[in-house]
This record gives sequence, C-alpha cells and structure tokens, in this order.
Amino acid sequence: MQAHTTPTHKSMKRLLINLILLTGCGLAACTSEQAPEPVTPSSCASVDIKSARVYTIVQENCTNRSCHPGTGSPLIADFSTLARLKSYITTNGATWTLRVTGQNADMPQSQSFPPLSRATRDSIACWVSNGMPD
Amino acid sequence: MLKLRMLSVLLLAAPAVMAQDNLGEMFGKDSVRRDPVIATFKSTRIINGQSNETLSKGDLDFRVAHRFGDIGGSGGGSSTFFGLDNSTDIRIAFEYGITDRLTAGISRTKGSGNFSQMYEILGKFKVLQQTMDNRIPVGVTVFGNAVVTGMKSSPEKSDVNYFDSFSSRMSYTAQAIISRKFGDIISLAVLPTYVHRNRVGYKDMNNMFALGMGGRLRFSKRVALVVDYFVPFRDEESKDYYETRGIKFYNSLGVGVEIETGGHVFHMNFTNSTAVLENQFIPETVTTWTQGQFRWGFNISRRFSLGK
Repeated sequence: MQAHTTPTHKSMKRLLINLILLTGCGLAACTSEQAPEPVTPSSCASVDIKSARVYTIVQENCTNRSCHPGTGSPLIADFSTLARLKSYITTNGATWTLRVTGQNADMPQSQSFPPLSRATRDSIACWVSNGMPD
Repeated sequence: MLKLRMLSVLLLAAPAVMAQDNLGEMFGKDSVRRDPVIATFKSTRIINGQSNETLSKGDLDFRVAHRFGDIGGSGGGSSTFFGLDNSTDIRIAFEYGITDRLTAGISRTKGSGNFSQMYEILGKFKVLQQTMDNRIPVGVTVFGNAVVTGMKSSPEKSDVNYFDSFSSRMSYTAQAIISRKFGDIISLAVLPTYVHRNRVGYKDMNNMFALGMGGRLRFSKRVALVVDYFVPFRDEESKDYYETRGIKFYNSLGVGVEIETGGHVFHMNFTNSTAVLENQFIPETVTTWTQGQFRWGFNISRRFSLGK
C-alpha cells in the first residue's frame, strides 16, 4: 500500500493506535469471578440472625427508593420501622413467605433493585421462623 | 479467557485496519473525496442501543435517559399510576466530540439489575462511513465502555454484590455498530456486542455475546419511529439454574418515537428492560412485555458547540 502523509491521515492513525491501546489497558483489568453457590441451611436452629441485620436488608432493598415507606403506594406494606415490619409479617405471614422468602418470591420488584440472593431469603426466613429475635 | 480478550481487541481493531485501506483510497489513490451518507440516525442512541452516530468535533452532548416503572403486571397498574410513580433507571451523561469521528463520555447511572450506583466512561469511534455512491455500503462504528459500581458491598459472599476488590465492581461492553441508510426513509443497524462482567452470581456468565438490531423509520422531517432489539446468548445451564430460582431472562425490545427540535433530540419510548446501560440491559433483563412489565422512558439530548 502506498504511504500517505496528509495531516488528517496521520492524526487518524494516532487516534486509532490510542484507541486500541486504551482498549487493551481496559481489558487488562478484566477478571472473572463467580459468586459461590448459596448454601441453604438445613435447620434454622443453627442460624443466628438478628432483627438489626434483617432490617438493614429491608432498608436497602425495600424502603430506600420510595417503596414501602408508609406513605404513598404501596400503602399496605409499611416497613418504615422495624416494629411495623414485624407487625406486617405477623399479620401477613403467608404473603411474606410467598413474595419475599419463598421459592418463587418476586420481591423486590423490578424497580431497579437487584433480586435478593437465595442465601439472604433463607436467612430472613430463618429469622421469622426463629421468632424475629432482636 | 485470554482468547476472549484477544477476540475483543480484534473486534475493535479489525475494522480500524479496514478503515486505513479505505482512507487510503479516499485521500490518496482517487484524490476525490466521496460524499458520506449523513444522519443515518439523528442521535447517538437508537433507544437502548447505540447508533452509528458520533458527535461533531467540539460538541458537548448533555444526555438524560429515564425509565419509569412497570406499566402493568403486579408492579404497575393504577396504584403506581402505570409506573410513573417509580423509576427503574436514570442516566445523566456528558459526551464530547474529540474529533468528528471520536466521542468520549462519562455518565452516572442509577443502575437496574445486580448493581446500582454506576459510573461509566465510554468511547465511540466511527471507523467507516457509508458513502452516497455506495462504494462503502455500510457504516461501521465501534463502541466501548467501562463501568464501576459504587454500591455498598453485601456481607454475604454468595451475593453477587459482595465485593472483595475494586475489580469485582467493574464491567465492560465492546460493540460494533454496522449501519446502513436506505434512501431518506429507513435506516437499519446490526450490533454484535460483547459484555464482560467481572463478578456475577452463581451460574451466571462473566462473558456474554449478544446480537442487537435497530432501525429508524422516518415519518416526517422531524419525527421518526425507532426500534431496537437485543438477543443475549446465555447458555442453557445458566438459564436452567435461574429458572429453578424463579428468574427468567428475556430479550430487550424497545419501541419509540424520535422527535428532533433544533438542538434537542427527544425520544419517547417503551421498553421491557429496566436498565439503560448495555452492561445491564443485555445480560440482566428479567422483565417481559407479555406480563405488562414494560415501561415508558425517554432520552433527551442537548448539544452545545464548544469548539466554535
């Protein structure tokens, strides 16, 4: 191929080289890791999970983006305090199990929250099963 | 893994090498510059996917993308005013035209999927431009981004958002946008895409290839219909595992109207994917049109000429 020396051509070449180098550097930071398989506890007796941990999970996943705040929609599930969360679970245990900790749980909904991991769902189920200890 | 990295680099580099030949022809051998086809798409995004367009040199593009909640299904309906009470993702970006062919940008995205609180750097390079005389029948643009999440690490190691190092927080997209404008009315694009996520959940895929398709049908000088569709290639083992967990993955489909109003390009669209970034809406869409899990969204673009 014949050599070209126009300034445009030179600057294009420089840009392309930089782009390829930048891409190479970016890809060099690639790693590949996979979370370990969630462990399902065979018995909740050995699981020590307290209200504070569960309520932190609820705050991070259920209340901090204008869902279940106690005002506005959805009104029915008010998780604005730990006491209200416990009250809801006590009176709506089946719904809680179906939508939060069960095999086909669909909460949190797709409003930008990542799904709860199986391990987290199992831990919450054990907390409820153990009497929601503080 | 090494092979995949090399493949990605080649994906970006190969069209660039072809471009050198082509530029040689354009500037050297023929000495006649062919007229490029312009405005294949009016914006740098089709809906969720990239278009072949880059910014002009010295142009700053301020972009806002917003996706509301599910219109129907259990998360939608009148109680959420058909999704308008919720937002699944919001992206605010500044993109800048370094040259007429090279765009760089930064964005902050709320995030929707495994991670939230996303920061993105992106680059986009127009390798080939379709020409009026059909000597170059298609345009080829390459796009890449690197995204890091700033979200708090989960204490549980089995959670996807458990981060034991900075690199666990990162993900990448490499994409080629092959486009063609057919007359003044129709533009089409094919988008072979590679997404790499450094950390994924159990049985999820670190490397995922996808094929995107997009199009624009012009109704009038300022209004057009735009569509894009992405098919991620997730392996059967991963699909089966997540289905036993009650999670099903879907292809992303967006349909919208594009309105150009001098300096602004405004997209009103409907899409089943909740996320805006390629790193999330391609591998992590778990919402489907058929269950009412689609949403209203918009992309607003405002360009400022800083170089003149």
